[in-house]
Amino acid sequence: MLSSRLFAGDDLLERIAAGALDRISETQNRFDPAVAKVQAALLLWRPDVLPLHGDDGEFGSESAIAVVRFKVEELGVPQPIADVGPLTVQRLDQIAAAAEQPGPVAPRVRRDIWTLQPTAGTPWHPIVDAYERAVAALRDPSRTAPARWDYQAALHGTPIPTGDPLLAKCQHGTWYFLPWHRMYLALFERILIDVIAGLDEVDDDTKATWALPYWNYHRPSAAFLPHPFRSPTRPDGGPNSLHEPARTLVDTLIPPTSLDTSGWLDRNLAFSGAFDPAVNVSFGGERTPATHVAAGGTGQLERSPHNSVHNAVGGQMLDPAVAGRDPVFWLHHANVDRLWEVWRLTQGIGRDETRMSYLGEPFPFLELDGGIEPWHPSDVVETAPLGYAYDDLSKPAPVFVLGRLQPEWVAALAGVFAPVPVGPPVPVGPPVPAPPSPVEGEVGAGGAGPDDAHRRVRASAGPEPGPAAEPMPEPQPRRLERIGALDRTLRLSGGESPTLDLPLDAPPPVVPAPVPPPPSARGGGDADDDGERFAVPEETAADAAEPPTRYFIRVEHLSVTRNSDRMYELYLDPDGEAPEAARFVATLPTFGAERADAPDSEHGLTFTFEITEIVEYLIANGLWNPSSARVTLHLGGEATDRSPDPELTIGSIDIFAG
Amino acid sequence: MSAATGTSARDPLAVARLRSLPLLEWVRTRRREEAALLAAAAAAWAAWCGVMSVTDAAAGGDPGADGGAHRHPAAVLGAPLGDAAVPPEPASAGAGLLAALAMWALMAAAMMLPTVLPAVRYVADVSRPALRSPLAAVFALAYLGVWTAVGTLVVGATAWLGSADRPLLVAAIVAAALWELTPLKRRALARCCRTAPIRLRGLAAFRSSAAFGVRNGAVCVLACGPAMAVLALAGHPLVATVVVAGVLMGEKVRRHGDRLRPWGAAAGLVLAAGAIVA
Repeated sequence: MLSSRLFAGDDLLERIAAGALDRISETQNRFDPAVAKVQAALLLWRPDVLPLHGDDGEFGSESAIAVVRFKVEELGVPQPIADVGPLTVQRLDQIAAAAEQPGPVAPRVRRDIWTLQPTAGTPWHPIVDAYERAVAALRDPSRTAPARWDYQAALHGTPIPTGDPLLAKCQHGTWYFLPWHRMYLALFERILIDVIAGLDEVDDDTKATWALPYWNYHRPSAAFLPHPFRSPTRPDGGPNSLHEPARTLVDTLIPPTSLDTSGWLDRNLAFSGAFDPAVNVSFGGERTPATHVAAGGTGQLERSPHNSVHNAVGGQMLDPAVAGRDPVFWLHHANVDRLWEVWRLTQGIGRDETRMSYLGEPFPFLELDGGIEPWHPSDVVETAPLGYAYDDLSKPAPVFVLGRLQPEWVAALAGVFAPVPVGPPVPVGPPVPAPPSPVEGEVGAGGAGPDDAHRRVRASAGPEPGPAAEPMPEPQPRRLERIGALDRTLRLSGGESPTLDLPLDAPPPVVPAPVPPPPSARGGGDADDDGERFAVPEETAADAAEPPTRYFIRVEHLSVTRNSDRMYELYLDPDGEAPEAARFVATLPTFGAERADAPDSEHGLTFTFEITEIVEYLIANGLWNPSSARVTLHLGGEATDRSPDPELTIGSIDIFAG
Repeated sequence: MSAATGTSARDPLAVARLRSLPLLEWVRTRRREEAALLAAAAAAWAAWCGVMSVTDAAAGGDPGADGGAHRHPAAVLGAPLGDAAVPPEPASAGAGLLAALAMWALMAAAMMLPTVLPAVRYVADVSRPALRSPLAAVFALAYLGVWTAVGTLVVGATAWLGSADRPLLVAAIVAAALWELTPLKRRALARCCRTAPIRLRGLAAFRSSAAFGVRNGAVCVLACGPAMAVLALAGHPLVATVVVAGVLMGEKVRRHGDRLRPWGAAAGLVLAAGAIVA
C-alpha cells in the first residue's frame, strides 16, 4: 500500500510495489501515466536528475539513466537493471511522502508596538490596523463565546460573581500568575488570528504573520501610551476601538517608579518560594493554591512593572475585574510575558519551576471549537510550542541603580525630549547572564551596564540559551529575623507623604539556616513536596558570593478603601532633611487591592523588597543609622478628579535582616 | 556580623555538618513552636482517651457495645447514640456542666490545635527570638479561648435541650454535613489562612498575638464549629471523632484543602446513617 499522495491509487505502481511482474522501462509501460509520477519522485530525490526532459511522462534513456543512478546511490544495488521495480517504487514512495509532510511552522513573532507604530502621523502598521479591526469585530454583540470581547475580559475577572466556573480565574499573587496569563494570551491570540483571517480589509501577508504586539515601555521614548490607543478615531476617520477614555494615562510619561525592574533584574531569585514572611522574595510568586486570595505572595515581576503599570494606566486597568476590557491590557501583558522569557534566558536559566503541584495544575478554558480543555503550566513553559516568539529578548536597562533614577529618565521627567521613533531591534547573538550584582559604587551595581542594556536577541524558532549562559548560584539559605518595625497601623487618606522612623535591633549574625533532613528522614515526601526546599548543593553554597548580611523591607496588610492610579513610593531616607539623598526602594501598586480585600480574602496586599545593596551603600558612605531606619512613603502624581488621593491602611512596615 | 562568621558560613565543612543535622536538631531550631503545639494536642488526645476509659469503666459498660461512642462524663452530653438509657444525675448537674465544658476544651485542643500550625509558624517568624514561643503560646491560648467560649454555648444549649432524641441528632449531623458544601464554609476556610499584623515590641506584641488568635479562632469556629458541635452532641464516638479531626485538619492545612469538603460531608452523612441504624 503506497502512502504518498503522488503514488497512492495508481494501479500500475501499486501492482509493482506489491510484487507483480509489471515493470516500467523503455520497453514496458513506457508511456503509462505512472511514468510522470516516477519522474516527479525522482526529481524530489535529486532535482538535477532529469536535466533535459524533466517529468515529461515518457520513460526514455534519460529516465533509465536516472533510475540506474537511483538504484546505485539510494538502494545500493551494484549492477542495476534500468527499470522500475518494487524496491524502487517503495523507496520513491517514501521520499514523496516525506516531501509531502508540512514543514515546521515558523512561529509568529510578537513585535513592539512602538516599533510598529513609532509616530502618530503615519498610517497604521497593518499589524496594528488588524488588531483594531479584530477588537471591533469581537465587540459585535452577535458573536458567541469565546470569540467575544466581553467574554475574553470576563475570563480574567468579572465585577460580580457569575457562577460560571471558567470565568474570573485570573491568577494574581501566586506562582501561577505568569503561566496562567501566558495561557490566557495564547488563547486570545489564537482567537484574534481566527477573527483576522475572516477580515476582508486585512491583507494575506498580515493574516499569515499576525501576532499580538507588546508594549515595551522600558525606554523613555516608549514609556508613553502607544499612539494608536490615544485617539478616538482611526486614521481613516472611523471610530477607534483601541481608544479607552477612562484611562488616566493619556499623553504623559509613565512614572519611572512604575517601570522599576530592580526587584528582579540581575537578582539571584528563585522562580517561587514557600510562604515565609521573611524570605518570600521570588521572581514568579509564592507557592500557593490556585485562588485569588493569596496572602502576599506577589512575585517581583508581577509587582513591577506588571501591577505598577496597571496602576499607572488607570481607568479599567486599575481593577482586575474589568482590566481585560481595555485593549492595551493585552499589549501590557504580552510585555510581561516577554520579560518572563528575558528572565528565563538570563538569570533564570535552570530555574523553571519543576514541582508537579505547579506544572500539573489544570486551568480549563473554552476553546474556539467549543470544547473545554484544561491547560497546565507544563504546556506553557516554552513559547515555541504555542506558536509565537518575541523579536527582542534583551534585558531592559535599569531605571534605578542603588535607588537612584538613571539620567535618561531624569531627563525624560524634565521633558527634555518628546517621544521619538524607535528603531527595530538588532540581533547580535545569544544572551550572556550578568554576574550577581557587586556593590562597588553606583555605576554598574545592581543592574546591567549600558552595553548589556542594548544587547538584543531575535527569537526564531523559539529562543534558546546560548552556550555561554551559566546558571547563577543558588542563594544561600539564611535565618532572617525581623529587626525593625513600624509598630502601628498607618492610615493614609489625605495625600500625605509621611517619613517614619523604624527602631532597629542589631541584625543577627549570619548563620546559614539549618537544612531540613531529606524527605526520607522525615518519613516520606517526594519531588512534589510542598514543604520548604532549603537544601543547597554544597559546592554552590560554598561558592556563592553572597553579601554578609541581607536586608529586606516588607509592607504588610495594605488595604485600600479608595483606589487611585497614583501610587505610594517607598524610599529609604537616611537623612530625612535632604530629599535628594533618599533612595528609591519600590512602588506600592494597589492594582487588585479590591480583590485582596474581598470577603474571600480580607488580607490586603503584602510586598517584600530586598534592600541589601542600598543598605550596604549607605553603610559604606556612613549614612546608615544602625539603630533606626528612616522610611518615606511618597505619593506620586497630582490629585485630580480622576486621580484622587488614595485612601489606604498599612498594617505593618518591617525590616528583616540576617 | 563578623568576618569569621561569614567565612564559616561558606565553609564546606560547616555546610556538610549542617546537612547532616539530625531531624531533632532541625525541629529544635526551626520548628520548636510547631513541636510544642503538636505535643499539646497529643497530650489532649491522651487525656481525652484516659477520661473516656475511666468513665466507661465507671459506667460498667462495654466500650465496644455502643459502636464506639463513649459515655460522656457530663449527663447533658450523654451519648445518645449508645446509652440514652443512662440517666443523668441531678445532684451533680453543675459539676457535669463543668466536666462537659472541660471535655469540650480538651477535644478542641486535640482536634483543632494541629490545624493552626501555619498560623503559629507565622507568629514565630515575625517575632524576636526570645518572644517566639511566648507569643505562639498567647496565640494558641486565645484561639482555644474562642473555642471554649463556643463550647460554653454548646454545652448550655445541650443542657437546655436535655438528652437529644435521635431524630434531632440525625438532623443536626445532616445539617453539619451539608454545611461543608456551602460557600460560607469555603470562605471561612479561606479566611483561616489569613494573617494579621504582629507587633514587634512590648505589650503590643502580646496583644496583637492574642487578637490574631481570637480572629483566627472566630473564623475557625465558622468553618469547623458545626462538625465539632454534632460530635459533642453525639458523645464523641471515637472513630467518627478521629475521622472528622483528620478531615478538618486536611481542609485547613493541605493545599487545595477545600476540595476535601465533599469528603467531610460524606463522613457526616455516614455518621448520620450510623445514628439511624444504631
